[in-house]
Amino acid sequence: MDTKEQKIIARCQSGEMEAFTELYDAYVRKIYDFIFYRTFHRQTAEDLTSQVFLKALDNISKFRSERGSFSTWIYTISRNVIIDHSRVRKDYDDIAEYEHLPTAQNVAEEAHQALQKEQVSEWLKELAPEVRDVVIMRVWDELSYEEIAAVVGKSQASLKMAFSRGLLKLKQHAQTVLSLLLFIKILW
Amino acid sequence: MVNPLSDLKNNEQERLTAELKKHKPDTSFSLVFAARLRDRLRQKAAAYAQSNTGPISNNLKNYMHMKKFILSFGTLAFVALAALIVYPIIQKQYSPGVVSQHLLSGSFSVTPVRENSFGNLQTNTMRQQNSAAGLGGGGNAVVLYAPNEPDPTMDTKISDNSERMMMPQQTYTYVYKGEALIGLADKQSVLRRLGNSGNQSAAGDLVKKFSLGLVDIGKFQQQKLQNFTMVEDREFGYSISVDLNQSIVSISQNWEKWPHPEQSCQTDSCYQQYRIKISELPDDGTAISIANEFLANFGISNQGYGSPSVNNFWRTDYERSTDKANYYIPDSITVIYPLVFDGQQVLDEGGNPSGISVSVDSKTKRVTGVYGLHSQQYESSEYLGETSSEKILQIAQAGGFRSYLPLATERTKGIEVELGTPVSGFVQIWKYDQGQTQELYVPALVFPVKGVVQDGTYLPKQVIVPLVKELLDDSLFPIRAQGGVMFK
Repeated sequence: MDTKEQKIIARCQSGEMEAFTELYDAYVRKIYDFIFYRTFHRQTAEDLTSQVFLKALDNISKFRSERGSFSTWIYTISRNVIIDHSRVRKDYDDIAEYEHLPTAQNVAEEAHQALQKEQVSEWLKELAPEVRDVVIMRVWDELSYEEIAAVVGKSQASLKMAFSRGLLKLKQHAQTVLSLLLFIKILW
Repeated sequence: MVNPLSDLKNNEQERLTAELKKHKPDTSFSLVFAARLRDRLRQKAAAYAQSNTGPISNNLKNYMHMKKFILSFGTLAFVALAALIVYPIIQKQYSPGVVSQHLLSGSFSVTPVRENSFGNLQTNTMRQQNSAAGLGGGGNAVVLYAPNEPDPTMDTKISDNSERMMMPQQTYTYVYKGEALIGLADKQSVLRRLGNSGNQSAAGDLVKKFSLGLVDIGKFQQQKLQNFTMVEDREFGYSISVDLNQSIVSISQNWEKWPHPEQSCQTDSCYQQYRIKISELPDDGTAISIANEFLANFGISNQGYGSPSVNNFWRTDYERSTDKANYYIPDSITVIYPLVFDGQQVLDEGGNPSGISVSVDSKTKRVTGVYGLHSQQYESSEYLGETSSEKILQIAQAGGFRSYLPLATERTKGIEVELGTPVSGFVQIWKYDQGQTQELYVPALVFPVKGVVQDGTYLPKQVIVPLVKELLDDSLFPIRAQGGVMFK
């Protein structure tokens, strides 16, 4: 684990709890993005991000570096928070059920963006949830296979396989979408 | 097993990955949100006051593993505490005229000091946020209080896009339906809790008498003992953290001495067998009895605190859940002993009762922690009170202090939420200034939120409006001249 992080955690665990804000500063953007990619809803992402860091602060004394990195720990908390949330509010959380309503004045630009976003979610909803999770973690969260393995508790080999399967599935289902996007880009 | 890679042509994986990456969504990350959450975490960290942590740091663990001829931290802390307790007795017996000293006082006292003694009550964060928002009459002034304002640090285009990408959000309008407000005082007494016990130097002198082996601690000058932690080295033992700077004692599990079989689980089925079932939860009466017994056993006085109650917020969520089998039942139940000043409730900034909280483990039915136990020495200083009932009601209808409920805008029609006649209380505020933390208790009106809304949103239980004029400054609560909707 990162030496600097180790030192910050040691400070927290020895009573200097305000040092936790240094960990927060390092991770807040990553965790917010991680949640947003799975909820596509800003307010929800903010609420859940708050929950993640409050839980992390509450439990920092229980963190044990020998069991894994802080990064793995905080991503695991995030994942659990999203899962808990989806159990209660499935309508918001499932990307497959995501819908959005354009409201702004710039209709052309909005249509372009909305279509892009909708198509991305269309691509992703073709994937099984666990595969989708791996693809998003790898591509958008930019986590290494090692990090993903630690968070989801699967082997790197199986994750690589899942990732490749995901891409193959995308290839099969998204070819039309890619063409459409390319066409739209040319138009605009 | 078929390798899916074989179905992808050369570079296709990279191309698809790049394409996906290119369409990575704009997450509309808000710097204001980040600053607000950071502030909340910092406040909570301060409230823990260097407690609720593991018994000792990893560095100290390593240090202890050296097994050198040195005093371990635990031993040192124990000896220090023993000495702190024993020393005054010895002093009293063998040094006539020296009175035994308490490290922390258990009594309640309020000492009046001159007006405005605690400085401007607006916290630095409030002022900075205002400054960052570019105030001057604009509607973005309320970044702390109106969570749904557009992020003022983002440019308009991005802001518009983010709004476009959000799920349509229901908004609400508070409507006051209580009695007319009367008897608003032009002076309000704000309390500040005194942290430093004044005996830290004496405690520091005692610690100096012990050799640390690695350093001659006696050479350091004007030492004060700021905090120490002791652990019970027994099964189901506790960790006791004492912060002499803030006069706060916290008790938590000595994690290593409590069984945590679920920690070794590698599979979901293993983990599931240790999950708490709702049938295993102690009822409220049992939880309160367990907490009462613990306080009595360890000589913790609940004088000055109201009747205990169980924090059952999660049950509302549970009752609404359609998948109760998979609902996460909390591992512990929290019993709150609410702080009461002069018969009036004290609420934290989130509107929850402030006071001693005792966690009771749902499975073992044992107390796992006691937090919020602090000395009750206060100073009292008068500040200018807000006497305009109209302004107070406007602010209440705008959500008051720290409201999270999305309020209606000029463009949206909100669901009506009724506010009832308020009661007097206090709101606890943490003020950070030049590295110092002040714990303040400000007189406030607490407006009960009545009823439920049909869309199932969790409404706050109350809306809090502080009664000190400077906390209701127009720059913090910009109120429009007309109309029931104040913000945006």
